[in-house]
Amino acid sequence: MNIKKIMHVENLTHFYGNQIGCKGINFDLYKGEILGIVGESGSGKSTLLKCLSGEISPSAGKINISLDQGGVKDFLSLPEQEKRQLMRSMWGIVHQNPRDGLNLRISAGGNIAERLLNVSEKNYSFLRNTGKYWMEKTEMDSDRIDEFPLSFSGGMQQRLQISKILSSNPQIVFMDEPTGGLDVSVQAKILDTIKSIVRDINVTMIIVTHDLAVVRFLTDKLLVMKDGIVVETGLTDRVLDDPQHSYTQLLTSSILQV
Amino acid sequence: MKIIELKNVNKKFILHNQKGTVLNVLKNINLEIKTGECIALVGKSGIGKSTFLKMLYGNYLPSSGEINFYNNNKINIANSLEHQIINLRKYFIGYVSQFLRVLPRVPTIEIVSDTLKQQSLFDEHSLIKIKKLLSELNIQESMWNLSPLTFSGGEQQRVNLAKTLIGNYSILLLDEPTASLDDINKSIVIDMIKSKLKKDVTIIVIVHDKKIRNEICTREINLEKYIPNDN
Repeated sequence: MNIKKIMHVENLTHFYGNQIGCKGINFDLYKGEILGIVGESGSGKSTLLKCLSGEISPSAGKINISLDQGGVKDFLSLPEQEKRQLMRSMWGIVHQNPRDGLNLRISAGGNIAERLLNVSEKNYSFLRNTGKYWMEKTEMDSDRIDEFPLSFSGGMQQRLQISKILSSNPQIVFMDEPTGGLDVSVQAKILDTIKSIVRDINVTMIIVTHDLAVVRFLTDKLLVMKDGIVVETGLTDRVLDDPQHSYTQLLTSSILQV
Repeated sequence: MKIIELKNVNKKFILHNQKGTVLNVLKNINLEIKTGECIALVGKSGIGKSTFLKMLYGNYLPSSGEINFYNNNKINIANSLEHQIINLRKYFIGYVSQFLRVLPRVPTIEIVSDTLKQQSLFDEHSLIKIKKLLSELNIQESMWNLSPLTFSGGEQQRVNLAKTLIGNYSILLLDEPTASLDDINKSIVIDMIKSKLKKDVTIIVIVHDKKIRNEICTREINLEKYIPNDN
């Protein structure tokens, strides 16, 4: 078995002025792996996600990426235009608030097509069929393809955002608290949807969340962050069931039982 | 043929937030398990039988030592990359925990199907096979499309077993697989374990009932001898 390393992160560091955002982050991500980044608010997990997804330029460190085409690239020293193109076509970012990731002025189908147009797919019926296909895959009613995002419930908007991102077959998907704003009753089904899609299309994913239940069901491995640094890393269920670091032990023993 | 090997395995827990309490659980485990063996882990309650199984599954990290699995090559689960362990779990080692742990609102039949999908074994005959297994385990047809989280303890345990027994694993780790079952279901599960053994599956099981151990196990490993002296 030889699984390809898709991302190599070395000593990634970001400061906001004198304030540490994240510091000395190292990890490797392999194709098809789902990485969870957990920690309390202010731990640096969102800063790290933004550095990785190209939304901010880190103060120091290295991100090597190796996609299906084009060999190993030093992501941070790519020309801005190439970076943008890569982020548009190879990356997918699922925001916590679906309204940040959706274009509210165009229909559900239009939202999905918009992504595909970026990767230069222009055939109308293909775009429409793909839109329907992804709506069904994320358990939406594909008859609502012409409706606007605001006519959907919060859970459905999140499904639409996930459809939009996954339809263009991105090589790495970044998710920021994907079930954050949702009712508990829809969280589980969305997690189940994400999980089954991920297995079908073998996508590589990085998920930031403070919810340990989300990482347990969705992720393969974990980075636990505190005060900008990674305090523990490993196989998700190992970290949660046999935490080694005092902070991880505190985190896992603080979950309220229902 | 040797399939599992433990070398100088030690396990202690350090509870940082409880005054740094150190619990020494198991010490100096050196042993080998051969393909097709059915091993019973024995010893009094709290001795570390579940800890032992969880270390084999990579769920607990040994404090030191090696836990090697021999497939085509040797892999030390105590010192492997996450995707290597996940791959091992997908195709090679199945684990049935004491309690079923699944996402809410996912139907029983999908939970069992999922194992085959993960192993890329799901095809047009799979549903028939899954339904047959669920029927054999006395899970009524009316329940197949319901989430098992509302089932009784015994039913949940049988779903938990179905989820793993449907797969094609070389090694099965079973933590009290018959604990909450009545006598009829117990003997059904024992027969299923026996048929796995006939297919040369290696099984490590925690089971308190001595009669069951005598019926299925080829060897007992008593964990008493791995208790650290300082306890």
